This record gives sequence, C-alpha cells and structure tokens, in this order.
Amino acid sequence: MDNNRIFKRTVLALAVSMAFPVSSALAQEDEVAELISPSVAEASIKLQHLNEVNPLYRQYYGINEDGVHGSADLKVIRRSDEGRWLRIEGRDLGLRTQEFGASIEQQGDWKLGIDYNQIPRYAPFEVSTRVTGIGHDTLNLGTRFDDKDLKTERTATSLTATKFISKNLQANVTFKNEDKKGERLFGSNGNVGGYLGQLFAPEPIDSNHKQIEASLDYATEKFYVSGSYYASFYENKAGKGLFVNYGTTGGTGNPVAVQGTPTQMSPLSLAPDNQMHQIALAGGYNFSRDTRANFKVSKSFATQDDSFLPSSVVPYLPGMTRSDLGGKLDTTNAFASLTSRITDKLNLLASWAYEDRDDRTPQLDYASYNGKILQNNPESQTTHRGKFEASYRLPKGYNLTAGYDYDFRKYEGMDELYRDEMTENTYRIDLRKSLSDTLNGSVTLAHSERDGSRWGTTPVLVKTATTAVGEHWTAPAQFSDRERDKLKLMLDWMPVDPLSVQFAYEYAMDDYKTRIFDIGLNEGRSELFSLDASYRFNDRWKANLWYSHATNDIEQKSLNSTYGSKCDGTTLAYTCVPWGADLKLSSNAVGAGFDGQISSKFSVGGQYLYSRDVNKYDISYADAGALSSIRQGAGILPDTEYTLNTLRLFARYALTKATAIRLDYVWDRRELDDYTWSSWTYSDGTKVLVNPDQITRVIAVTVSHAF
Amino acid sequence: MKKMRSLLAVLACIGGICSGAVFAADAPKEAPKDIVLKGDAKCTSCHDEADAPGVLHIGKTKHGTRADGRTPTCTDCHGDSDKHVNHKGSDKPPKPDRTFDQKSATPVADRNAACLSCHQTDPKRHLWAGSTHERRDVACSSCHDTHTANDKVRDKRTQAEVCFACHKEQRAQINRPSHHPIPEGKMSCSDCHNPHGTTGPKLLVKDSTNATCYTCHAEKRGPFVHNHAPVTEDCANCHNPHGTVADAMLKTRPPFLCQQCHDPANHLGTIPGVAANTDLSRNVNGTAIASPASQNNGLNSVGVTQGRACLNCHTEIHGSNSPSASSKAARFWR
Repeated sequence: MDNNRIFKRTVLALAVSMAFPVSSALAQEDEVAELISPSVAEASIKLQHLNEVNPLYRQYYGINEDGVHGSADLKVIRRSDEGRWLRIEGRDLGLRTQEFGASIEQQGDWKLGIDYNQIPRYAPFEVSTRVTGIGHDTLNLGTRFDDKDLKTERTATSLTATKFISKNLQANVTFKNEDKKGERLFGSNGNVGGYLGQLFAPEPIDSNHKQIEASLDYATEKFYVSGSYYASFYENKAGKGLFVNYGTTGGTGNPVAVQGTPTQMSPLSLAPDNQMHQIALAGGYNFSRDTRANFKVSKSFATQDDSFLPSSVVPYLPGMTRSDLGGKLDTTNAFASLTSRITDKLNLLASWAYEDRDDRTPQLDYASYNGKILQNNPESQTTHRGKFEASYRLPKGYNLTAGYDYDFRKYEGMDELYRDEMTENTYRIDLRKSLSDTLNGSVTLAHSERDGSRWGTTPVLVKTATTAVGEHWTAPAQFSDRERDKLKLMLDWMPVDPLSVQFAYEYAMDDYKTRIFDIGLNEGRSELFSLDASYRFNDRWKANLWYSHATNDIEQKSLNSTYGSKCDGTTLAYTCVPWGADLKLSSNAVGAGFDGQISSKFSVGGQYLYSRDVNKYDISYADAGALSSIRQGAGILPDTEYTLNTLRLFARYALTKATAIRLDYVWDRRELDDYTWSSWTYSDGTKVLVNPDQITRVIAVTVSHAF
Repeated sequence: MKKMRSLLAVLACIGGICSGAVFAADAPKEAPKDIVLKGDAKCTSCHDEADAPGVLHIGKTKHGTRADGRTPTCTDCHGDSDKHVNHKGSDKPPKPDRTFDQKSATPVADRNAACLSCHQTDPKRHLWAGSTHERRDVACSSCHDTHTANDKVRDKRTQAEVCFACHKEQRAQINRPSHHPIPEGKMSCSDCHNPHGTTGPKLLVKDSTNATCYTCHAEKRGPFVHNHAPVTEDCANCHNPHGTVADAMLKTRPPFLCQQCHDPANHLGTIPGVAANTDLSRNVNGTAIASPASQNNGLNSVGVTQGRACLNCHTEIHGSNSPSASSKAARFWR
C-alpha cells in the first residue's frame, strides 16, 4: 500500500513535470528572477494620526498640527539587460520632510541624478510674544500677545553627473542649491550703558547656498590622480541688519520703554554674503603591493565683501571709509601619507596634514572704547598634524600598534589669546587579539601632553572703578596646557552562533593647567560603559538589547565680581568672591528591538528606547562675610533632566503578493526639566514655554502596492 | 490500479516527447549554467535558490550587473576555493578561500583586498590606506552587506545603527534634545564623515572641522569685522555636533562654557542663578542691596544663566559684521 502511494506520487510528479515542462521551468525562472532582479515598482500611501503636537517631538519630524496627515512613498528601480538603471524614489511626499530622488545610469559609463530634500526644524518650545514682524528684518512691539512657533526649513536640490570618459578617466559634477527660510532665536540687549533689558528678537532667515563640486579622476592599478574644484556661494536675502524697534530700557522696574523707539543695539548685524573657491589635486601611488603613498594639496580663496549698512544707519568711526570689509581668506592645505607593510608582521603608517589659513583682510580702525581704537581682527592660523604608527603582528593572534600624533598650531593676529603656538604630543598603544573564534578584544591607551609658547601677557590685577578686576587670568580652554589620558576597552563575544554580545568601556581624563587662582577649566573626566546583545532565534525572529551608561564631569573656577569692582573688599560692590563649579552629566540609555515573521505574509517588529540625561551643577564659593557680593540664592541651580521614552511597533500583512498593509504605532514621551526658560520673561514681555511632560501618540496605516 | 499506472506512464511519455527531453542513457551531462554573474555556476550549481537564496541577491546590486564588464564574479571576491568546490563526501566542506561573515578566519586585510582591488581607485575611497578604520582592522564587510539591494549603511535612515555598533558614545548623544536630525532620518553620519579615509581630522569630509560645518552653515564662514577666535579656529571648541542637553549643541551651557575662556572681570565671573531661587535684592548674608536689578539684567546671576544666558546680549557670538563705531560690536552685541 505504502509502496503504491510512493510510486503514485513519484510518477505523478514526473508526469506533471514532463507534461508541463515549460511552465515548471518558468516557475523556477520566475523564482530566480525575483531573487536576482533589482527591479521594483512600489507605491505606498500612508495616513498617520498625531494625537498632539509636542515641541520636542516635532523638532525634525515636521508635523506641526495634530490630526490626520497623508503622505506617499514611491520607489521605482529598473535595470535593463544592457546595464541601464533607472531609479525614482520619493519619501514622505506631502509632508514637510519630503524628499525625492531620480537618477538614470549606464553602469560603468555615465550617471545623471537629481535629488530634492526638505529638512524642517521647529524650535523645541513655544513662544508667547507681542513682537511683530518675526521673520523680517524689522521688529516692532504690538499690544496683543500671540503664540508663535519659530521654525526654519531647508529646501535643497542637487544635480549630479558622472561620466567615464575612458576606462581610467572619470568626471564628476555635483551642484547643490539650498534655500533656508524661517526664523530662529536671537536676542538683543535693550540698553547700551545699563545692561538692562534683554529682548526677544528672532533672527530672520532667508538665505541661499549654492555649492558646486567637480572632479576629474584618473585611476590605474598603479596610481590615482584627481583634480577637483569646489565652490560655495552664500547669499543672505534677509537683509544686512535686524532693526529692533521696541524700546530703550528705562532702568529698574521699567525695562521696556516706548514702542517704536529703536533699541540702542539696533540694528543687529546679519550674516553677510560670502563666497569660497577651492582647487585641489590629489593622488595615490602603489610602489608595490604593500606600499602606498597618498597626497592632496588644495588652495581655497574665500571672500566676504558684502556691503555694510550705510553710516546713516550705523554710525561709523570718523575716518572709516570702507563700504565693505573686503574680507579675504586664503587657505592652503597639504596632506601626505605613506603606508607600508614592511614584513608580513610589521605595518607602518606616516602621515602629515598641513593647513595655512591666511586672513588677508585689510585691517583698519572700526570702533573705539574708552578712547582706545578697536580694529577688525583678521585671524590667521597654521596647523600641522603628523602621525606615525607601527603595527606588529605578535604570536598567538595578538596585534600591537604603537602610535605618535603631533599637533601644532601657530596663531597670528589673535593677540587676545595670549599665545602664539600650541603643541600637543600624543602617545598611544593599542593591543588587539582574536582571543578565540568566538571572542575578540582590544585595549587602547593614549596619553597626550599639550603646551604652548610663552604667554604674551602676565596676569594682572586692575583696581580701578572703570576697568576689569583682573586681566589675563584665564587660560582659554583650547590654549591651556593640558594632560589627557584615554583608555578604551572592547570585547566581542559570540558564545553560541545566534548570540552576540559586545562590551565597551571608555575613560578619559583631562587635567588643565590654569594661569592664576585656578581660574578657568581645571579638569574634565568622562566614562562610558556599554553592553550590547543580539540574538537570532531562527531565520524568522531576532532581537537585540543594549544599555549604556556615561558620565561626564567638569571642574572649573571663576571669581564673582560686579561691573567696575575693585575687589578690595571695602564695599559690597568691591568685594569679589572666588567660586568653583563641578558640572556633572550622567546618562543612561536602554534600547531594545525585535523583528519577526509570524508567517510568510505577516511580519512584526518593535523598538523601545529609553534615554535619560541628568545634569547637576554643584557650585561652591568662599565665605566673603557681610560684604559678600553674591546674591541670595545665586549658585543654587536645579538639576536639568531630560528623559526620552519611545516605543515603536509595526505589523505588516501581505494581502496579496503585490499588496500589503502596515500598521505603525508610536508612543513617545519626552520629559524636560530645565531651568533655561523657567520663570523667565524677556523685557518685552515675551515668554518661552516648554511643556515639561510631552506625550505624543502616532497611529499610522500604510497601504503599499507593487506594480 | 493498473489503469491508473498506465495512464500516468502515458502522460509521462507524452510529456517527455513534447518537451524533447527524453533521456538517453549515453547523453552528455549538461554543464551547469550561470545564474547571476559570469562564471558563477561554479558556486551556484550548489548555492542555488533552494540552498542559499540570499547569495543570489547579489544580482540585485551593482555587482550583479553583468552588462558592466568591470563587475566581479564569485571567485573574484571569495577566491578560487578549489578545496571547497571539489570537496567530496558527506562531511562539511572546508570554507571558501575568503569569507566575509562575522566569524571569518580570513584576515581583515585579505578580506578588504578583495574590495580594494576595484574600489581603491574610487575618488572617495582612495585614502582608505592609512585611515583610522583601516588601521583598526575594520573590514569592509563589517559595515557593508554586498549580497543585498538594501545595504543598511548606505541608507541614511539606517546608517547610524551600523556606525553605533562601535561608536557607543555617539549613540547616546544623538538622543539628547539638541541634535542633528539623525534619529529622524534626515541626516546621516556620512554627511559629515567619510569612513573610508579623508585628509581632515576625525574622518571629516573636508580638510578641517570648520570647512565641513560650512557645507551647511556657510553663514558662519565670514570673515567678519569682529571675529570670535574659538569660532574661527574650530566649531568643536564649543559645539558637540552629536547632541547635547544644552541648546544649540553646546558642549556646556553658558555661562559655564564662556567662563572656561573669559576672565572673570566685571560681570563675566558672575555666579549663575535662576529667577526662582535668586533674591536679587539681597546678598547671601541677607544684606539689602541698594539698587536691586531686574531679573533679566545681563549683569546679574539670572541674566547670565537663563534664556540664552550670555548670548542674551552677546548674540553675534559667531562674529559680527557690524561696522559700527560702538565697541559693542566688538563684543558681539550687534
């Protein structure tokens, strides 16, 4: 009986396949074609419902209205047997985040492409203000408070073209045109002399940025050479100045004066038009299979000659006759590297990068302060970055790398920075080992020492009623002597085939040398610990989980003083108090995700992300007795805390081979406890509002169809 | 039963005749045909759609475009692998000469050599030799999946996940409230970094940090009448582009950030305070101060701490192009 059944099945199968050989082969061919063909024609319509607009969530998602929003995605890919590709892709079409790209390409010969991309950014807060004219170059003060959203939007269109002129010669051209419009937080002080009244004065944004990049690349197996040109043209169409017409401040209790009166800071300068052109020559040469040299030299010419506002609007210093800055900045870059495998075990690298930024802007008198003439400050800088590294393959799978990094900077024109040269030497060692087939690890240690040339000034005490209490006390962070130590550990472990575990630990310690009284940055420390695990249950189900904990501590010191203080302790105003701050950041983050196929038609997935950052500000100061200049309550800063909880779930069901429906659910909670805007009112009455607990729910239905 | 057997046998014969596929005992065995790549039959005769459908996905990629004479075949990347191919027996065959999976025993340099034999001459990859990733033994296959039409690292929505496999600190930072739109899929790591090697620091796409930032923030390029030295030197002096809790991706919020460089003269060393806590009419000892300032006076604790803090007044912090005779322009007020 059983034998008969087997015979029947075998002969039946054979009979069918023999009787209908073409259809059987076609089915097989179809299956293979589906596996190997890149061709796709797919469109989807998405309807998503947002329960509530929340400033932190909306920041880059671009949806600023609750309710239902529709969008479409599109993807068409075609490749002919002759190797011609057609790609058309659209994402989020109909939303402010929409993007679209299309290209046609003869692979190995030429390619033409166009891309369009919108990037919105909404300020992560809401504003209640009576300022009018937001988004324009003239701001006034109205009478009615309205809610305003500050936002910017970038709209970029790129065109690309590539052509292989010959087997070895390739030409590339890219042109990008980007417009940016909107307004962003800015500000103005309301009074010249009294430092009173800070005003809400949003900056208008209306700019255009064009970039062109073209290169001609010639490559053989032996060498590579490339000549390129890059240009950038920035145009600010928002104006040259922001006119803030709401008031000089009238002192205590009357921070905002008469509507329509220009603030004494008005107009605030807006970013000037500027241009940059760069030419570059790059190349590489293989001396042998094991030795290669690379190089690049480039020269760029930047100019900024946007005309100034007239002196009738902005009074010039007598004798200042220029109508524009005449800014000229020439930059020369050079780079060279040599890598060589000296033996099977020894591998060397030497590289050197050089930059000379030569600010050739004419220097002249622009302003005065207490009878002292202030000039513009063109700033030139030369940088050398060198690297030497040797890697040696040790027995038992160990690999040892020792490296030396050299960083040298020379400044010209930055006299306020007090130092002309800075040098940093870094010594590092890296040991990595394939501990076994399932375990890999590495440990990296680095030690850096940074110091500079003689300070151009010495710290001085100034005890007059009109000038500073001290000068040249602080070593600016990037110019102070510093010792830095770093440690990094990584372990990859695959104990069993479907499980992968990764462990990482990083530690860094910066020790800064101050100039006097420990004022400035003293110390910085950071630590990071992370653990990742992923598990593949089978071909259909997989999951991952990760956790990271990071801390960052900064210690710095300063001196509390008031304007014009003599610091001699004779009065409240003349009593200065040393103080220090220990700034601590603690971050914890957890992520988890899964993907699975319940059946060939039904797949599901989800992600969860938790992230919490807590900043603590521990401020301490000396007891200055009865004449302490510190205001009651100063130095008590609440912790700032930010917590993000996001859950994303999806389920996709294939209704037919071509049509699928997908459900998405997002639950997003962002809690922000930050003192920045708390109990803060601008002198013009503007308030910036941050909802401390924001929950956003999004439910989306997507129907996709493959044609 | 006999009738059924006869019927099936007849069907089989008819089918065989119709298809012309009647087997002759001495007919030569047909050589396996290539499926995707030229010469791939050496591999796909075993690794076919039934055995390893994922392998065939190479056909969906640029590597699978046979019309482009430059495209490789299996053995160009995996080696001739004769021992693997010629293995007889029921036990597991030896691995191909070059493998690219996570547990590959092929040295990273050898794995990468397979890719570099073609890609080293690509304009954006010619600096791979000597780059940080090359020196740290990162394999191309650590980031790229060549047997798929959707290489995760080449899609800006998913690219960061690949980078975060090693860059854990940045993974935590991009979820802070002030960040570039990476989690939202509008930017990717490769907008600023070229992981295949560059002449700039930190594998930045341009020769310097600032030159990289100016590709999107050209308004900061200047030069200005009044330049701010740390801005001119390196945007990363003040900003952490991967994300911060402080607004504008500032590494530390003002006034602390500003006090790391500036002398404490006048009001610059003012101890920060917030409106909710600070009594501006009295000092710490309760002594009344004759002229209490308004909360948002830039000279007092609250004025340098809340709102935009120091930037409430020094709003032109990236540089001022005001030709004004007033010294306030030099202090980035206007």
